[in-house]
Amino acid sequence: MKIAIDGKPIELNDGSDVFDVLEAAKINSEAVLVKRKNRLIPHDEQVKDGDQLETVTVISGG
Amino acid sequence: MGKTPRQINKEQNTRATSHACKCGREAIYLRVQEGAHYCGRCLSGQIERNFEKTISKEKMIKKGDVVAVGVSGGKDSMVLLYLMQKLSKKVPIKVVAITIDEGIKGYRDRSIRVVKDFINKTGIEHQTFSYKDEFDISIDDLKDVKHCTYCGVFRRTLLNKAARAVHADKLAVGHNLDDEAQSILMNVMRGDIKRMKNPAKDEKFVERIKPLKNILEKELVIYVIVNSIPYFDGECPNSYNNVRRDAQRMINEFESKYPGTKSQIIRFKRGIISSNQGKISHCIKCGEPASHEICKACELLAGLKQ
Repeated sequence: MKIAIDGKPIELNDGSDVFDVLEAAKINSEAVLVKRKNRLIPHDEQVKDGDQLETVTVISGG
Repeated sequence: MGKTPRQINKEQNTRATSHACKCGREAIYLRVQEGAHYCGRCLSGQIERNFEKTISKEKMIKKGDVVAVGVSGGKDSMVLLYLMQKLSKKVPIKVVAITIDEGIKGYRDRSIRVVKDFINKTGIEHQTFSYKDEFDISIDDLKDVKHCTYCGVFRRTLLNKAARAVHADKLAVGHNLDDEAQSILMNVMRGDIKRMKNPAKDEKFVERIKPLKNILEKELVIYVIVNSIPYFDGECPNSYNNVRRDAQRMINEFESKYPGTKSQIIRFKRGIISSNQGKISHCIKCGEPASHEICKACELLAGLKQ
């Protein structure tokens, strides 16, 4: 299946979850929260073909 | 070390199309080290209880205290101000927001606007103190130096002076659990045992309290989102290459592989400092509390003016 995170397309096996997406996108799972349709979702939630995910950066400031 | 998120997934088969919080609402967050799912409301409630428990357990605040809250406009300090104001409706304390303007154009001026907009809606007393007024120098004036070295020292000194200026009994800062873990690791890497001790007490030091120190940074981000608290999420243009950033990346790498690492680092420090009280003297130049004859701020300023 194909999904996108922050606009970047990623191909994954069916049944993959957000952890898998972040691993494939080389994003540390501790450094971001993930939104789908503008709603936060847990990192172990499965993604579906065509999902458009967005990250919210945890780290900010100086 | 705990199990990795992937191990937890495999063993508990937590992967699912959606998850429920224990209250029955749809979950928005997995706390990996517990394997527990939370909705926004339950996580917010837990954060608020954590904040109040940290304050009461460590007797950080007492009735009648004037609490200065250091507010930069970033998420941590905005949550701190929001929660402290909520607390002031239950406990008779006075909250005064103080902001340090380091003089970083395009960064601090923007974050200060966020603070002022919030303050205007809440009616909290607020004062801004600038490096320019205090040290006759702005961070933007510094060339060919490590900005963070100067900025960190100046901020610590000015926050303390600002807290005294507003007659505060306590100075609350927005350090979260991640910040604490990073500081410990940085002190280990620098071999700085002095900073591993309990902070020294001195009449010129306004007691610094960290009511968010037991809350993970990512949970504070969820808190601001769920509670629609405005915050400035810009990154300081000078922070691209500082030790804290490296410590942050390193700890996050470990935390993602071994959940609970951050809490273990904190536990390690608590274990070794329990009876270690630091000593303090006063700077012979400015009279501010210092661990040496001349405080770090005066030492840095002297170097800049040579």
